[in-house]
Parts: sequence; structure tokens; C-alpha cells
Amino acid sequence: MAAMHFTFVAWAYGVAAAILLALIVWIALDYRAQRTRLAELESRRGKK
Amino acid sequence: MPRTSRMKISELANPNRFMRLATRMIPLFAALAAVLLAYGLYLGFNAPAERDQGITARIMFVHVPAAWLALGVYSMMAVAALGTLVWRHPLADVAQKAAAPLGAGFALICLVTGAIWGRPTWGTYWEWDGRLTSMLVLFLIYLGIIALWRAFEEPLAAAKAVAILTLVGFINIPIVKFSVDWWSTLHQPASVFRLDGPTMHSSYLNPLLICALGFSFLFGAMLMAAMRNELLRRRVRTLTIFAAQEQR
Repeated sequence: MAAMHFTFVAWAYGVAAAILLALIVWIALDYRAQRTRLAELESRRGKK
Repeated sequence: MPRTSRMKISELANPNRFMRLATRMIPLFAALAAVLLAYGLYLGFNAPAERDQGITARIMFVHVPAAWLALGVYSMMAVAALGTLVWRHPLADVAQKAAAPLGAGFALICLVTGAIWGRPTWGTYWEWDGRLTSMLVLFLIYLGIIALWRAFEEPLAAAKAVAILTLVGFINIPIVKFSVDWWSTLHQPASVFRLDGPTMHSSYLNPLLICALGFSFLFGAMLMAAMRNELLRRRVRTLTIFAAQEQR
């Protein structure tokens, strides 16, 4: 019984960690993409 | 209001100053979140097993803070919506846009962990009762707000439409909160925020409050980072428009 209950606890924490990790990775990738795009545009303007 | 406090609030309205502040505050908030969550979960997992629910009661340390944040983030977005429509604060719609996916994430954590907790406790993953259904509606409202942001090309036009939808959707927040009092539901009534004080034992209440504080700092760090991304995205958009105009 306790082992089965542990499975529920493990699933709950696993799913919560996965959702939070997905949000953090999405924010980090978005930051990198925006910084890269901004650097490209600024260097293009600098050349003109 | 003292002059220094007024200066600080006005400084936050400036996107460039906000970006500099966020760069300093994000690591601090993330570190506080990590320490508080580690300590809260350590206390929670060392608490004695609950009499009726056994170890499954420990799901509350992630389920309950996620539920509080899902409601709290939406309430913050409603204030930001007023900031957009009434005070025209330059960061209000940025905060609103950045907060929506985070609020949706916390609502999803609440729904999924609640379903997993419900199976051993109630014998079912899901029941169409007042609390569960109103929380699902909150999640769907978050998705609707995210979709509405994406439907507009111009951020300022999107901000007004989203602000109105957010304020209309706020009616669901008291429904979620009081659903356990208004209708017969499988979900237990409030055991922390009650007029007569918490009914929960301190061995569970203390770790729960520490975890909730940890999740709040985590949300703060993610919100500032997502707001910084949105400000960069708007800068990119402006420069792209300038570049297109120069090419003509």
C-alpha cells in the first residue's frame, strides 16, 4: 500500500518538476533567441 | 508618500531601468526559491505520515502552492489589466503578457497533481464538481488569454483586448475560492486561509508556507525573466520595422 502511495507522490512531484522545467527552458531559449536577433539587427544598423 | 519611495516606483516604469533591475534580481530570487523549496520539502518529507492519507498528503506541498499561485497570478494580471486600461503604465501589459503562461503552468500543476492525489484519496482522478471544474475553467481562461495575445500583430492593440478579457475572466477567481463553500464537492474546505485560523497541524502548515514562499520567489524570478524577454522582443520588432522602412 505504502509503495503504491509512493508512486502517486513520485508522479505528482515528477509532473510538477517537468512543467516548471519546461517553463524555465522556454524562458531561457526565448531570451537567447531575442538577444541573438537584437544583436543581428543592431550590427546591421551599425554597418550602415 | 516619501520622495525616495516615489522615485523607486517611477524608476520601475522605465523599461531600461527595469531591465537592469531584473538582471540583478533574477539570480537572487532564483537562489531564494531554491533554498526555501529545499528547506520546505525537507521539513515536509520528514513530517509524520498523515493519519488518513498516509504519505500521499505530501503532494500538498506542491499542489497547494501551485493552486494559490494560479489564483494569485491571475489576480496580479487583473491589476495589470487596470494598469493598461486606466493608468497606461508602460510595463503593465508587458507584465500581463509575461505572467499568462506562468499562471497557466501553475494551474496545470494544480490540476494534474490534484488528479494524482485524488485517485488514492477519493478513488477517482476527476470529478465534475465546483472546485475542480472552476480550476479547469481558470486554466482554459489562461489559454484563451495566451491565444488572444498571439492573434494580434500590434502589441498595444492586443494589450487592450487582453486587458478586457482578463477583467471579465476575473469573475472566476472568487468562484474557485468559494466553490468549496457554495457547492457540495469532493474537495476539502479551506484549511489555511480561514477566519478562525488554520486547522492544519504545524508539522504540515510550516513546510507548506515555506514551499509557498519558495514557489512565489520562483514565480518572481520567472516573471522578471519573461518580462525582460518581452521587452527585448518589442525592441526587435521596432528595429525590424525601421530596417524595413529604410530599405524602401
